[in-house]
Amino acid sequence: MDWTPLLLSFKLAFITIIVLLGIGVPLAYFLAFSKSKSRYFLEALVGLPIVLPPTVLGFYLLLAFSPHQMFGSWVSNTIGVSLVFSFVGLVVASVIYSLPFMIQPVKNGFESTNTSMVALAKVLGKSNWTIFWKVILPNNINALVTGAILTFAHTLGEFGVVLMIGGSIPKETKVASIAIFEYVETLQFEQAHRYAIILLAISFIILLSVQFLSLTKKQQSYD
Amino acid sequence: MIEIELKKTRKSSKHHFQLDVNLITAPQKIIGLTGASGSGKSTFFKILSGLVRPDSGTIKVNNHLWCNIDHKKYKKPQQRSCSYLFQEATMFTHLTLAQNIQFANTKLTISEVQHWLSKLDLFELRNQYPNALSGGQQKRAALIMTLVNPTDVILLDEPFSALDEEAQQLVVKLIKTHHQQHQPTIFIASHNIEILKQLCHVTTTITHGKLDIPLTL
Repeated sequence: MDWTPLLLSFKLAFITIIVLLGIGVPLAYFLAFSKSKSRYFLEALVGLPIVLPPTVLGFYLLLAFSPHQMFGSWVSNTIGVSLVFSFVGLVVASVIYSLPFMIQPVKNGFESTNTSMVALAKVLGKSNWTIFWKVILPNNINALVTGAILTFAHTLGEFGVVLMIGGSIPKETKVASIAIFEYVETLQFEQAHRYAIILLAISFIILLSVQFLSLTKKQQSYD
Repeated sequence: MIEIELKKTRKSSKHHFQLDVNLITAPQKIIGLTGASGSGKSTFFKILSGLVRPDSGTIKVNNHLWCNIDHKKYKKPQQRSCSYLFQEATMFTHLTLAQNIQFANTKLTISEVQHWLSKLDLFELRNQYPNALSGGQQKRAALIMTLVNPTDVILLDEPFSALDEEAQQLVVKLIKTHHQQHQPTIFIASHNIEILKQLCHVTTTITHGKLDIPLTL
């Protein structure tokens, strides 16, 4: 069995999580606490990947990433890598389509942070920066882990966007979901089954972990 | 000198509430506030600490202007020399008792934290998380967090509730000692009139949001 597509899927998922923790946490903070009306627009924009058909998102990303378009050509000239049919392009696409899966749980966690604790930190003279790092974030570890787990699961399972942006280049963009599709197309069901059963098992374990995390949180709040 | 003149209206579907405070007093006094639940004691404290913005008025403490709504001057809670014990004795649930005290004043050494905990008989519980403490223990711990930062004004909202008589006397002693050492102005909201008489230079009542204390204090 060729493990490369699975390893590539895991690599893509891990890099996506790391990038999304960097982008998603400040964005979730803004959406949770900002009084600006722009947050409604931003929230709708961030949530788009949940409702859009992956092919629609993939199509527009393909257009935007094209070296003949402004964004694609700028990236190509700046870092010397084409975003179309490359692993870097897959990471960028993956970050965009997984954004709501990281943002939503983290934002919900931030919003449900005990307001009395935040108020107490303020009257103790703590800066907003300290309140974020020492009060809000430590009380939302479960939300961060849930966001990371959901991002991981979603990245692992995405097919439409990945196919449109990355195609199927072995060791570059041929992730597990693409490999399964190709094996089924060529009627190699046994090969397809090997990848599928591993993804199935991982997805189940991931969902079980999320359930366990939410159970732990409920128990903590009843203590 | 403490000069406070403020108004705050709160409208909800159930009731209409207006806080109307006029207070001028010499500094370094201990002032007791009584009044029925919902009379505005906690709202007054929240406005004084900067957590809630008044609709109008001025707050001036020892020549420092904390708030003047007409002139759009407003100091955030972090910029006011004011400590506040919340009625619900809030603590940081992800930190142990000792870590809570340390977080309240990061300059304290471990032995100073232990000394503070011993004052209110909490030393043995130093490694416990707030959820493992009783209501009275949380109240005492939250009081320590309020006092570890010497400030010009201290607001204590129901500091004696959930405490047995012995613990109440420990708290009274601690507040008295702290006042003698640091000379802050202390406001204490409580239903326990006996203790307020024992501790305060003056005790007054908030009735339907109205508080009026004359200059003669």
